[in-house]
Amino acid sequence: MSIRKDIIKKTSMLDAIYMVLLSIIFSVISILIFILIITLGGFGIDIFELFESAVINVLNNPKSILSIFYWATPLMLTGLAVAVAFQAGLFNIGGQGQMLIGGVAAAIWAAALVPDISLFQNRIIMISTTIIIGFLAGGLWGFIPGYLKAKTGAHEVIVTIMMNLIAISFVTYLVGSQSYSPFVDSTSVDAYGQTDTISEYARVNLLIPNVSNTLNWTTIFTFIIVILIQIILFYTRYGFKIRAVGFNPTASKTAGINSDRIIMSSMFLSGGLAGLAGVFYVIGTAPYRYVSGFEGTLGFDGIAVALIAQNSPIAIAFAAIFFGFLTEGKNSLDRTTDIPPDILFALQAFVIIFIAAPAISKWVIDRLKTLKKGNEDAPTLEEENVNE
Amino acid sequence: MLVSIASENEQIDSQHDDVILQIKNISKSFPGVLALNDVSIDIKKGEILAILGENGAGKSTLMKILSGLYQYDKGKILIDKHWFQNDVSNNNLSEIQFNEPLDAIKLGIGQVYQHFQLVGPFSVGENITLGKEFTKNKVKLGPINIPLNPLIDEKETNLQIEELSKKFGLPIDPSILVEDLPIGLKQRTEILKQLYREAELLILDEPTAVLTPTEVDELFKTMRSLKESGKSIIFISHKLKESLEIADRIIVLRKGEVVGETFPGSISEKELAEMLVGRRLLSTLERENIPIGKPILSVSNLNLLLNEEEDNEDLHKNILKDVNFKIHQNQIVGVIGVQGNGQSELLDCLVGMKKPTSGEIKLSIEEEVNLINFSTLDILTSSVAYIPEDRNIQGLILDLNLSENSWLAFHGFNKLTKISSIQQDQNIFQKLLLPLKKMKKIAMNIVNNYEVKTPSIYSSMRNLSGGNQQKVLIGREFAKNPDLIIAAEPTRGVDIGVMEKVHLELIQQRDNGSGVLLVSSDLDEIFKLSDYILIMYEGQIVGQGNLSDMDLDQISQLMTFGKQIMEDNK
Repeated sequence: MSIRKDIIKKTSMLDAIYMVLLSIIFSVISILIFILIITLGGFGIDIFELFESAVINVLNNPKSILSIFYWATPLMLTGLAVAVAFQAGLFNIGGQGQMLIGGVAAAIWAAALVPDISLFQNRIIMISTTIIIGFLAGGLWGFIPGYLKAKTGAHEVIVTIMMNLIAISFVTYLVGSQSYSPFVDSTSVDAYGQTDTISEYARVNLLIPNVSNTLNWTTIFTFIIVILIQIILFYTRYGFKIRAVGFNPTASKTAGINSDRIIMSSMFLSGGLAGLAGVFYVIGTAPYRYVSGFEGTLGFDGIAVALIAQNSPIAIAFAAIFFGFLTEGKNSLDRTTDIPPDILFALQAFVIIFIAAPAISKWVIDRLKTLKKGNEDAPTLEEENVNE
Repeated sequence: MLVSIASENEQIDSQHDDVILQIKNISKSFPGVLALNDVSIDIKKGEILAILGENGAGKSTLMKILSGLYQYDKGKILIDKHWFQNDVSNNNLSEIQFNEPLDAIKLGIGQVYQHFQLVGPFSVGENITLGKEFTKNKVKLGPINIPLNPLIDEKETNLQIEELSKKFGLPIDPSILVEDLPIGLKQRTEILKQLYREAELLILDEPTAVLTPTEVDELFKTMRSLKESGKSIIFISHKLKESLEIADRIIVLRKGEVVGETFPGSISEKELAEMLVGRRLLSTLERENIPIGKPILSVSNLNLLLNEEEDNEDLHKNILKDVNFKIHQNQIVGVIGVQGNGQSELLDCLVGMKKPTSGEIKLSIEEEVNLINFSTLDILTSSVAYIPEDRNIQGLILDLNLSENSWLAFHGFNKLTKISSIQQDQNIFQKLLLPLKKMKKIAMNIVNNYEVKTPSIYSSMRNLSGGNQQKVLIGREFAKNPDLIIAAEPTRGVDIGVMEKVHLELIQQRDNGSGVLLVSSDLDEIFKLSDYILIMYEGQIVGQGNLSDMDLDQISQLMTFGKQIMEDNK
């Protein structure tokens, strides 16, 4: 809880930017340490080759640059999901499960349920309904922990973790085998782990087809959603209530805000956003179907994204792009060098640990402030509580 | 500049044989506020020094500097190290720097906070020795005690604490659980905790705020006996009467500066008050006697039962029992009683935060409605203003800014047309978006009408001083043009200037036809404002009547015993 307090305490935009910058500096330092280890450790890895492949090649190649945005898209959504819940004072770590459910629901809708109905043989209708179905499904998966939290006080962290496990099993059942599920890929008898490809009408175009064969319109949708969430949180009555409940549920209740309703609805919105990450994979990425394992750890990485972005939607976009850059660098290494993939994972984990340690950046910021004679230091929470 | 400081130094040094701690020319600023400006204070051996000041005068900042929580910008703190360490003074002051609270504690400066830092389910002895426990089977290895058996030696603890409490004349049973103690004894435990840590200088921050009059007397006895044993005490307060009663010396702070030093014998309460505020006070509140109007709120047979669902009737707890009263137009009804006798729960029931077990709460503004069936939002948007008891927890959201906090009183108003100043919103965008312009207008009005000191209406509430926070809370509730005002502790922690303003405002609302329910632990406030009083004891109203018909003795007996007792033990 203390990290959460630390994060929320830093409300000013400037501090948020400092934190992001500092986190990036830390990650650079961590990369240097990493380099030191592998150089001195005698693994026989050429650092310059690694750097050239993971950084220079990525930034020199328009295709790779566009891929960064492709990788960043689901992270923005899962990051937003964490942020919305955070603003309401909740820690939604169920993004992974919500994303799976959203994705599989969208895929079943667009691949099995409606493609033959003539009404849905229209791109606008098909794409929008698919998105809505996925959003609702993910939202439902987020709503359940929210409901339990509001009505019984069950802690959302525990419930969302359990909902993740349920989601994995449920989805595995839905796309597992033709013998018990009608939604599994029907093109081959022994297909498993994926749905049929979705209707032509539900697919989203590539953004710049002659440069990148991955980046598609869902990234544009996502940027719109980022701005929308920013507006919802900071400029609408509803967002006002979310933040009020997140900061002080007692005062919100005393002022007549129905905090139970806010908890449930913000968890619904949060789950829906994570669900969209799944939907956008299904409708935007070839082969346009739900494939088991597409999710990786996108849902959990969203937590790190939201953490370094201090739950500010706009900052989440930047943080996600940075993560996308790491992913693309990893892929580039994978393609062009012999460096074993395990070390690549280690590098990424190493960077995430440093990035997701805002406590360190907070410490640095506070330290800098004290050095400035403490003049700009406003009374903080603990001091305020001591007395009036 | 240098010269003047030097000469001042000599002057101060020459007259101080008894000074154990000297605060010298300390300044401290926060963004936009100069909290302390060139403050110099001496604390002498074995004296009770009262530091008086309104809220925002810098008392708390000063104490936080003394306890090592804040760093100061300018000035220094000098202390008599010998006195603190060996109880022997060599009249030699040396400079010291507190980097963290632990430094001050180690040195022997003990702070007793308004909100006690005690562990409820631990015994008194355990609380006192926490951090420096007595363990069994100690082995002495030079200066270090090595506990062979890490279990806490309860017997030894209790013995030692009993001895300590005898030594300072603060009787307490060390084996009793802290959560079972009345507030006065909890405070005593806090004081003993500091004495156990060998504090030479005790800082008591608003120690009487939570106490009943009897407990205050007890506390004062304690303070006097501590003084006799050579401890120095800093007594921080904004209560003039108490400071005059207990202190040896009074220092008055105003707007971060020391405006005067005085001695209780040589100044009257009124003069002291003027010194505190810096201008003449209205000596009494001018108020006409207006005949009361029709009833606005009538509460009948209100009961609140805890653990209602339990079958075992022993577990049932009557929080409120058969509460009956009425509030009329043009009437201020004051509720008095020691804290925790059901006042908070009564308010919770009135505003719909708690559902009473039985009874009726009838609000008649245009038509009569039973509030029990309505939500908090419904009630608060039916021209009921509610000033909750704890502004930091219930009233305001400190992390939101001023304008957002003032909007908290109006966020539900797009549903109602009742309040004329807030027009109903028309289109869907107005329904969805925050009405930033309207919010700005409301906030500006509050800031202007109540003279809220803030850098901007968009600065976080956390950065405002307590008094200014309260002004925002009161301003936003009164901006509703309420017919019924439920005010709990409306002047807690605000300075005299604000208090006066709030009182006038309450009287004005009464004169304009509102009914007011006033709950306050400040008896003077109740007597000053109320037309009619209710006395609560253990969830019951044990006495009510027009203020003019009751005398103080009667009231205090009802408050402390729930009934009137014979006069013979006096």
